[in-house]
Amino acid sequence: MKLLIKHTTDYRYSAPLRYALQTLWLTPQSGPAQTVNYWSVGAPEKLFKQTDAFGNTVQSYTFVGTEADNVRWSLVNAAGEVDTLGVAQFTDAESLPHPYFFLRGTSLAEPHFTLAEFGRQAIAASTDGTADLQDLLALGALVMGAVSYKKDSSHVTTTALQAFNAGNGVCQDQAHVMVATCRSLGYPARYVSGYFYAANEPDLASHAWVDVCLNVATRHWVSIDVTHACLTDQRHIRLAMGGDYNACPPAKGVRQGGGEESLTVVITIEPV
Amino acid sequence: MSRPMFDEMNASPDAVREHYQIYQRWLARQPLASMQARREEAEMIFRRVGITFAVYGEKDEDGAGTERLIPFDLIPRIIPAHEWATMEKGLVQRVTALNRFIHDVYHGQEILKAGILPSEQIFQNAQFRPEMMGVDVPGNIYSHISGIDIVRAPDAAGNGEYYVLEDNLRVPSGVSYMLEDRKMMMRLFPELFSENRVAPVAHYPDLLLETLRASAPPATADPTVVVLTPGMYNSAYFEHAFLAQQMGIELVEGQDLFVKDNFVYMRTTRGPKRVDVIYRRVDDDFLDPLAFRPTSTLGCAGLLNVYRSGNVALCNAIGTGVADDKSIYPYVPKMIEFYLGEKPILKNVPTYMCRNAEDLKYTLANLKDLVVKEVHGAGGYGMLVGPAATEAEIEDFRAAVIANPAGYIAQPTLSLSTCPTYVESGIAPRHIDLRPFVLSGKEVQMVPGGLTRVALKDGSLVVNSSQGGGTKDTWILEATADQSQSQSQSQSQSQSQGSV
Amino acid sequence: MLSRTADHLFWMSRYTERAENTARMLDVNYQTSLLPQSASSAQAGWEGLLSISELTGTFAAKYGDSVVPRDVMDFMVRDEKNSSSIVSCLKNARENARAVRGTLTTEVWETENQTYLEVIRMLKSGDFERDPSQFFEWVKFRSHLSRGVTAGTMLQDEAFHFLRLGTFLERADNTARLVDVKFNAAKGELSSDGLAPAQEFDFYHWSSILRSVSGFEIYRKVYRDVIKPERVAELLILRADMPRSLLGCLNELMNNLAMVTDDPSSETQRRAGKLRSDLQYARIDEILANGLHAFLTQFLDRVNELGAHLSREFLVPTTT
Repeated sequence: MKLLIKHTTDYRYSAPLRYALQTLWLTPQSGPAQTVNYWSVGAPEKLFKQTDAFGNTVQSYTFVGTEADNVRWSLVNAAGEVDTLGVAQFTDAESLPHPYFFLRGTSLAEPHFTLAEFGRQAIAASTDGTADLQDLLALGALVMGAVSYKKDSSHVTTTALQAFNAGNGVCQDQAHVMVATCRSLGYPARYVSGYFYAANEPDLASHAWVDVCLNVATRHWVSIDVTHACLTDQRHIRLAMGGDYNACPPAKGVRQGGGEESLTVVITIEPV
Repeated sequence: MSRPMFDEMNASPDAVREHYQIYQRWLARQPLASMQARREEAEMIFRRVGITFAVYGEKDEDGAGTERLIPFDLIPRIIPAHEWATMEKGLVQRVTALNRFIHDVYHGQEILKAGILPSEQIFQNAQFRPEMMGVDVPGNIYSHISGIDIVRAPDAAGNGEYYVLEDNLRVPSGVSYMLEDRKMMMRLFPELFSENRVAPVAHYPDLLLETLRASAPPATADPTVVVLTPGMYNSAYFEHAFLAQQMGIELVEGQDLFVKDNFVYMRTTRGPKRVDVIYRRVDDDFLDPLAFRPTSTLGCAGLLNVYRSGNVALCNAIGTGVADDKSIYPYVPKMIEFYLGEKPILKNVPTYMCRNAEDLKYTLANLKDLVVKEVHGAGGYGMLVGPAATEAEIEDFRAAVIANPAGYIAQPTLSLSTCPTYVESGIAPRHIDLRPFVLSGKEVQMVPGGLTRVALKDGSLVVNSSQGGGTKDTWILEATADQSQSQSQSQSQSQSQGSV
Repeated sequence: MLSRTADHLFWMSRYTERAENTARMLDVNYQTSLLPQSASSAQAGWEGLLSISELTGTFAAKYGDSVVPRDVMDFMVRDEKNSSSIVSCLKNARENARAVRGTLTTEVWETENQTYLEVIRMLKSGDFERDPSQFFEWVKFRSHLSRGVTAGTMLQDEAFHFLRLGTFLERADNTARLVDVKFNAAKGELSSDGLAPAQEFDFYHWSSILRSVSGFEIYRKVYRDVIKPERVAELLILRADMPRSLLGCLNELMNNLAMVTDDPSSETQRRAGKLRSDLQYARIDEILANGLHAFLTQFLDRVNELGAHLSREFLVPTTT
């Protein structure tokens, strides 16, 4: 499905901004699940591009100014056209870290015996580096049931265990719980940040799901959308993946000055 | 139960080893009282200059962290030239192989493909940094400064054999004590340096600066090198400040640096100055709050991306910890064979990896005779010394090992060599080790010797300064054919040595 | 050099200078209090002291409304919660020195360290109470030593110049305050002819001001005349050859600034230059005619702004 995406991030500051460094994970890449027809990113300063540890395209810019410049506003834009192919299974490139790496706990998705116990209702612990797809989907549904989607119920620092104990969260939390549970049972898993197109679910335009490893030896992975308890399909556009949200948020940075920051994000997705 | 002990100075109670003879003759002539006076003089000077080590967790009456002097013992540890020559070759070989290994781990991973090392040990190692995958560093050198801990232990016949105890490839410290100890010895006992031909070490800062400059990004004409320190509350701060001053370069903290347009700058009174090489004494985790620990104030936001772009050099590189882990240590001899096609010159201590069922079984059956170490421990903490432990301590450790076998390794208790040391009651043997500092730049080089650490408690094998160890000056005697001729040669040599 | 390092050096010498000037003022007040004088002028002396350092409010909060000499001495010498007390200043000087030990020579560091350790010991053992004057002399002496050791051992690079900038900025500030308060106090005792005060108040009042800035003998040498208030003011404000005068301080500031920047648009240099020339071309009778207090108040504002600009430009730059 051809989709046109526009993503605007608007930062307003109550005082002059003196320094800002922003790293952006806002560039989708072509791959087995999608073809990027065109894409561009605009920022207040010159962008420096790199490929990060997980094969994502990352761009950074730095702003340096003085009080006298009185900069009170920064705008970051990303837009382009992506053709989604509805492919949920794929093989990792050689250059990506070995699946074993994704067994490691990360600060937002640590394995925990509580999650292991919970996850065993749907799937047994890993024995030979392979995973059964149906069992994984069952696990996804289980997580969706246990961590119900509730807007604004958490914040960016909520860990998987905290969200699980709270019983609710946003798509980010559901993804973290799935990742942490998989890791707890010996299944390499990682976080995926992206866009989701559904005319009646505009809140999910910015969305998160998971990759779970089906076969360690062959580096074969599958993408599962926990919020919708299904495999990813043509409605999903991949932006970036990493150990958890912290590894690939749409934007991450530091600043000096600026006073209070208020952030507005607007994402529109339309079929072409 | 008596074990053969190897004493560095005495082959037997009435036979002094050849390389110690000149020194021992001098020592025998010194009255105890005059040596005691020199000890006090040394302590006073060290304290005034502030060559201290902040001890974690202790506070004095004003609530400030305690600064303790690292005890310095006046009796040097002497190694004859031919022994050092072999050790030096072995160190060059080992560090070369380790750097090849780290490069391999972050590139083709040939050693994993050849099945020599299990993949999980790399990828599940917390020190493996995926950010370094495919990143090319200047000269393919990752560990520019390597501290290789060496011990000597007697074999069955009583001959002393050198073993590598541990590789330190992240932020090895202690070289400032090596340099200050030598300065102190030359100040207190200038006559010793005319009688003994001791290889000088004072050029270490020069070699270090040369190594750091050589690691700069290729296009930089006159690289700006800085030392990055966590600050004056860090236990090794004295060393950071000392080395910066000796090399004539800036000592910076994270707050002095910022990233702009994909380069690193430091804030100076004349405006921002670009930084090309950072000799960082800050752990990987704290280097960049955007990439690693978000709460760290010791690093510089955005540093990782600048580093990966090749616009700044870090010494040592990020991710070297993948090679100095205790779980990787047993494989180092295999690395030497795999990358260099050579037999290892320096031996490893036989090691049992509890992650292996066989080794675990052996370890649990022999806890009282083994030294068991936490794979991720450091500084002598998290260690069981079987022969010196109580029943209760052994049982506690047994439980810990059973709960997490992959977290432990075990080694036979080495009877570390001893060296005569000043103690309450006079002079007595105390266990020592050696840490040479190997520099890898355009070539692999080092100053002769290193830091000798001594366990001051009778029978103790724990030499770490944070747990009450001390240091000694380390002498590598220069090779000499004719003894008498060398006496007169060294007379004139000592003039220039003394004024260093 | 690193901005943060320059910042520490700058403050190290500011605190040392502040401790010295506090000791000078306290000493003069203490000495004068031993002489026969009216209760009101004695009281004015102690109140003036608090006023110079803008500590009247803080003092009152701790001790209430009555200003007792014993309390003022305690407050200004040993109270660690008072950031302008002698002990606080010496502590801060030493902490700043410690932060940048690598840039100081061994002698400079040991001097700062020793001064701090000694003052703690002296306060603990009651040396101050036994002989306040000797204590103040000691503080002054340690400050002289600090400057001497700096000038005698440090390489004359940026580190040296930032140390000097700290000394002279603080000195200009402290001297202006001292003159302002002491001249204001005099006004209270003045007869209605303006600056023609009562005879006895005359000599002891003005000579004590001169002594506090080591200027008594200098006055005699320069003016060879009885002590007249307008001459005292001129000596302390406009005489370039008097080391503690405002103009003397500004000259030193200019010299040292020139060594740390070659930026022609340096705002700090521009302001310092302007302030210096205002002093250079001023005449004491004009200043007195327009009001000494107004002049000094304005001078203090300008010196403070100068300090703020210096800080922004060199010491704590906002990133760039």
